[in-house]
Amino acid sequence: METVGINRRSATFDDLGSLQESFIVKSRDYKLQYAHLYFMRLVLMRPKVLEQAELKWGSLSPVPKQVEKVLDVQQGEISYIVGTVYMDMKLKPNILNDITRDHWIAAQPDRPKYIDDDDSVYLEDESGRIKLTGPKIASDIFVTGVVVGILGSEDVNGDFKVVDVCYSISPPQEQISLMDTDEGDKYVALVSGLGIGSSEFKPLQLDLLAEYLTGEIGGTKEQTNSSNIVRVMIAGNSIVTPEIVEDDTKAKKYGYDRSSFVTEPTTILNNFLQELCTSVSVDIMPGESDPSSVTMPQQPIHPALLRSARDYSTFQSVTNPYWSCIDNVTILGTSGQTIDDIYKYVKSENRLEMAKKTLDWGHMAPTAPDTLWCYPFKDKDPFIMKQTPHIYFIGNQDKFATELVTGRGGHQTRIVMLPAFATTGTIALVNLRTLDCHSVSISTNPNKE
Amino acid sequence: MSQDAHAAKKRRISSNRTALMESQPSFLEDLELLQEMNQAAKVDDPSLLWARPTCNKINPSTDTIVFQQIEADEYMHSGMQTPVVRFYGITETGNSVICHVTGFLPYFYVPAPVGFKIENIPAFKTALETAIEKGNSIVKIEWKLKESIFGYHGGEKSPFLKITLKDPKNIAAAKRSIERGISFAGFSDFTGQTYESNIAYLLRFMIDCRVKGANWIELPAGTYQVKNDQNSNAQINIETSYDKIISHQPEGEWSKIAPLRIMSFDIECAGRKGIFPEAKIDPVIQIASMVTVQGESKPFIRNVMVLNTCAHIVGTHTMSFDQEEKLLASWADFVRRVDPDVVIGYNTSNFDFPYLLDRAKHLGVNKFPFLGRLNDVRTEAKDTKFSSKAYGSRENKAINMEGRLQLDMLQVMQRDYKLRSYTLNSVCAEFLGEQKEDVHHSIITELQNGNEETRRRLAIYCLKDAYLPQRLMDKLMCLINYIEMARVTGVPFNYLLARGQQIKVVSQLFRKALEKDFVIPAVNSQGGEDQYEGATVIEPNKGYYDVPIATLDFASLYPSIMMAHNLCYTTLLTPSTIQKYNLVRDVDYVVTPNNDSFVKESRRKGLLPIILTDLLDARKRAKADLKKETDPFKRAVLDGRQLALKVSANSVYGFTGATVGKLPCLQISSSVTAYGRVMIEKTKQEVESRFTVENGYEHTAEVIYGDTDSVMVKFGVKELEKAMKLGREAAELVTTKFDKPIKLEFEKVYFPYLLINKKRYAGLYWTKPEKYDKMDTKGIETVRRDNCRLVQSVIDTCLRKILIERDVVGAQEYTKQIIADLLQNKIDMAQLVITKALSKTDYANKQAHVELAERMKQRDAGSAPALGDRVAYVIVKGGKGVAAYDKSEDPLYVLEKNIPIDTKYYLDNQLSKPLLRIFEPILGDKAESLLAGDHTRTIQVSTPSIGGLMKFAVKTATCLGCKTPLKKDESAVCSNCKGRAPELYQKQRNIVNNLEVRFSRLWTQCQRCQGSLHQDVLCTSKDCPIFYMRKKVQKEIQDSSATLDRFVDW
Repeated sequence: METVGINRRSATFDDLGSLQESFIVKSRDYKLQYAHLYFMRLVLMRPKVLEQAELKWGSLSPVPKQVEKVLDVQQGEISYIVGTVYMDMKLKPNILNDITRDHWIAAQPDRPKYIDDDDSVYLEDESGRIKLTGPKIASDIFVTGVVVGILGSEDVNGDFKVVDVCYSISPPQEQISLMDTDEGDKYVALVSGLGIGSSEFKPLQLDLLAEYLTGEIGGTKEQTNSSNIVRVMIAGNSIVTPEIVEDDTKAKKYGYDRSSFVTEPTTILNNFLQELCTSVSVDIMPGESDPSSVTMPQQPIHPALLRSARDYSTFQSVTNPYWSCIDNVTILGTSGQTIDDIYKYVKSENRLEMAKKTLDWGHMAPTAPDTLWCYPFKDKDPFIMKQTPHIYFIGNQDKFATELVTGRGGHQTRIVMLPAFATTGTIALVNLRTLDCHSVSISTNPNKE
Repeated sequence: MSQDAHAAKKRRISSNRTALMESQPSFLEDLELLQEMNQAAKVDDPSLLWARPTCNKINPSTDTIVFQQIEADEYMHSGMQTPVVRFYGITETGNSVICHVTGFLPYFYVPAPVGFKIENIPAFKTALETAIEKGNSIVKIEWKLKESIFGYHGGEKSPFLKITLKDPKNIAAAKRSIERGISFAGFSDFTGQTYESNIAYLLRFMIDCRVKGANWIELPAGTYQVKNDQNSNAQINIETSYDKIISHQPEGEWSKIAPLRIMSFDIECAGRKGIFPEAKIDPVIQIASMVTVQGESKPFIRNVMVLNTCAHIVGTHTMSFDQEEKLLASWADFVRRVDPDVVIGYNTSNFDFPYLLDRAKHLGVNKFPFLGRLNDVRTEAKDTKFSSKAYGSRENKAINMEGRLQLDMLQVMQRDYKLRSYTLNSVCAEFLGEQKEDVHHSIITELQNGNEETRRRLAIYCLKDAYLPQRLMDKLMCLINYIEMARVTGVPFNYLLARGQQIKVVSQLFRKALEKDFVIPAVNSQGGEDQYEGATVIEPNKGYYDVPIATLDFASLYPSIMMAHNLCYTTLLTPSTIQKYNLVRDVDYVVTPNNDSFVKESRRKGLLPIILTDLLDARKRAKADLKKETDPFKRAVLDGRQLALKVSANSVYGFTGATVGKLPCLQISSSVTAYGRVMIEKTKQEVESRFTVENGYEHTAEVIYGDTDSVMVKFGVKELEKAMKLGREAAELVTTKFDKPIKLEFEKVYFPYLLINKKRYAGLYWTKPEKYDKMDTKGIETVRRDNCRLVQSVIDTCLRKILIERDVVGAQEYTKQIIADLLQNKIDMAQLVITKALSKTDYANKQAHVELAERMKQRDAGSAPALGDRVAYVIVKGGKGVAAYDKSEDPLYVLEKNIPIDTKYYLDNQLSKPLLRIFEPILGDKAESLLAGDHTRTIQVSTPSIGGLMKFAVKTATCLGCKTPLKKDESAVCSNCKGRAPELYQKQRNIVNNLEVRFSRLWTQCQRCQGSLHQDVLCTSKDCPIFYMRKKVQKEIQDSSATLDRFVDW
């Protein structure tokens, strides 16, 4: 092989201390209930929504009255209120039913969607809740936990007829001057769903990916491209623990069975990470199937499990969701659970729209804790978007999709819906200079090349 | 809004619109529309909605008045000294009516003594008046030819004296005098059995005027007068004579129901810690009320009255009062203004109303206790005792509210449903499929003493609780079913909850007797000890049947026996009558298997068979109409009716057998059961002799069990279709062997079938060969209250595995797993909790829940259960010889202190018997092996944090792999187990993850249930299956994540 000196590009990295810090749960206190989290969310977001409400409705005539608390709404008076949305959906998983239903009925499989004709939308705050009606409610996307402002009035049935809805003002965005660096293109590589241990997993494909990212594959062109990748972010579901199949032939064990533990997937992941880390910076986020906490925010995978990679300075085991900043470009990523859960609330199949909606709402995981498992935070809500990211990626989605959106504040965000690598062989590269994004497919099938 | 103003506004908005055009989408049009709608629907004062629709002035000469009467009472006319019946009702337009009906006088009969002539009447009258010490009390005595209902007398009538009195109260005295003996000209010491002297005046009136419970009454124009009644709250007050009213039978058009106003309410009191609220001390702080018009889905009035300030509640009329007196007075005023026809609630008769009345009395709110339609009648709570063979004894309070029906949903539940628990919580879980948030009364006081926000929170609870009885009633169709029952049996609505089964039969019997010219003796029941032989049971052939078992049922067995054999009071023969009329056995009369004789229908059709035929025909009609009807409300009425008809038909037999009854006749009831026994036996013979291999059938049939009105037949075939075909064939065959209308019906096949014992069995129920209908169990008492939930779920699951999955081995495995889990402390605590109500403190024997309440009081008097509370407990390990009642412990305390559960108690005293019962028919002696063996070897006991040795114990960290004590620098595993660290980490990670999911699911569920995301969950419902789980997971997850944190590195 011809050797040309191609050096990997470097970039400045900032872990956005306070933002990142907010996802770390240091000491856990489970005496707390979820009310605090909703309370904090409402307290922190109410002023931002009110600001938007005043912008939007303050010039109407007559000026609608702002009502402080939901239950203070007076019948027949046009007014606006800010509160938290609650979706009453009878198809949401219900643990009471699961326990009280006769044990012999097999548990209902997780529904792809919770939606049903009987669903109703409520707005609530500390005082209570009110049912929302009107065409605006039927046509827009609502999920539990979003803080919104609504304009309308209470009807004779005690329901609130909504004529318009508003969300938080757009969170601030770091100024960057796109296209204005002379350093040339730099990329961040986004990968999700390696699926090591799952039935879809192809070892060869993973090897190719490692070779691609480390620049050991292809000609000079590819290698140069690879050298422009300054960081690899792995967005969850790297490992899948195989399901334990009960063996009827063996005598039944009435207790813990240590033989059910499988080490192989962790070893493969370790090797993969080690290979990458020798050449490029790697952040690994946990996902639904990884050995991390299941509640949001997921804590970093224990470094002791990633023994071969952990000593590299290029390696980081990080949270999900995950904030970071490369060359002043702010990046927010999740391993997908946030959008997967919103998906269940809405008719639409368009996951990119849902991701856009979270930017509108100013909140990345509104359905936590209602249907998205979550730690009971007491004095903060780490999921509020305190900044508008430049890159916002969602891992483990059904297919690759991307869009550069311009928000209300004129802020630009590159949204990337990342598919799982194990099933699609696809990863995404985002240009840190232009925010352009393209996918790269890695296939072990020679016909495809 | 005027045209100009409208246009001006439009301009204003449109001028704005141009300015905002770019950023503002089309919501402005919606906004404008909404503003206009608001103008139109504006209600300034919600109390304007309270009153009934206005009523035009009545012109008696041109207006016909039609109303549905819902209640009636009687009073004495002050001038004439005669009784007046007062009907309370509602017109179709929702106006309230009080209708006074005069002129109907009470009467009874006595057989004329031998030799008595019409001329003797005046002397008899004087003597009787003297005897009852009331001059001028008898209006008239008439000579009537009547026949006694009791016994067949060849159809001959005999002379009776019909004695008509002024005052119903004098009937009892007159009856007693005649029974004791009266002397008058020519007759010394005449004693006689009186007839029809034991029926209440009101019911007498209704029977004679053909008025049924809750039916429609019409007063044609010109037949009534308007009555000016200061004391009445009704909109229409009228008076008429009893012979002028038209009573519409509740058929066809007249099955409708008036727009009744139903008020559902709930009160909250501020109790003191640990003490059940007392009206003399603890104030009433909130009253929430909902008023709904019958047939509508939503209440049109929702309000809450609150002592002290309360923040506004959207959609609710919130009223604040600075004084409790004003609150009470305003609520009473609200009740009078809204004028409900039906008042419902949960335990209102025994708690809410007596409490309100006592409290008002204590505070001196004099206007309060007038809650009925009559301003001069005070509402009071009176003690009543109700005992009935069917419903048992109950002590209740009766609250009088003239003109309003009361339906205390707790009493309805206790009467009509057999449940594990009757708390509003469990009833809601059972019928509405949702848990009710339960706030402990100490928290109620705290919320009340907080600020207007906390009181608002309390008001929201109160409103929810006020609405639940209404939802329950709608769901169970109670009101409609009760109205239909009143209509079918002809008794006033209020009798249905306050009286037993008998009165309903009495009402029907008297009506039919009047029609057929019979009179009914007033029997003084002595409550004899005579027991007659009951139904028969064919000795069960116990076992597990893996072939279809066809079940043949006699349809309405007892009613059809009475109809088939003409069993009645009026057909009963004595040997002397048989002789007197030269009756021939089997031509003129039959002798029942009980050796009683009854004439055949050819000579006379009995009254009871006529009543039964009418009821069953009416039921057939109702069912046929039900099939055709599409309107859901009318369907509900029809369904209620057919049910009422069925229940009524079945209660006739019981009436004849009730020794403490109005008219017991054991010859009838014993003959009925005797026929039943013979029929079951005969069915067995017929089936077993016909369906044999010799007769060309595949197998010889065997009757494996029979009870009362059904037999279970094993035809031997393996296919459902074949068993069903044979079942139908057998039913037809046997039916031909009996008199009409007795009919044996093939209804269902059990396959498989687990026959445990008499009246104890379980099976999969099939009516069509494609798919089973349900799993049916009889007598497998999983609902017993002193069982923990575990028993119910284990038995239920086992039965399902055996019957539905046909997996006997699986059921055994499951049982073993559960026992293993139990012994390893893995069963959820909620499954082990036993609850009992603390109804009194001085039980004769020491009882677990009473002892625990006492101990809890010593720990913390505030949170200890008070009288009337339900005590939840688990049985914990105790030293040797500690009595079972001392081993009860508060589940929360157990969770907190890690106290070990007495798993052996649960295995031996709770699980083993019911488990053996279902497994013995299958496994025989081997069933015992379920309770011992490998799966019972691993035992895990939690280490308690209190008591005994724990004071001296020192905590040392041990290796999570091998449990050896750890050295200083080791945090999770010892050096030997280091290799296993990833595995052990993973194991602990999984434990924590499972707990995290549980934690999230449980606490978010509670948020949903309480209907608020922003407020802490306060609910302490011990009936809720997740209450203890929720507490337990909090503790476990804290401990397990601490353990996980020990894996710093390895």
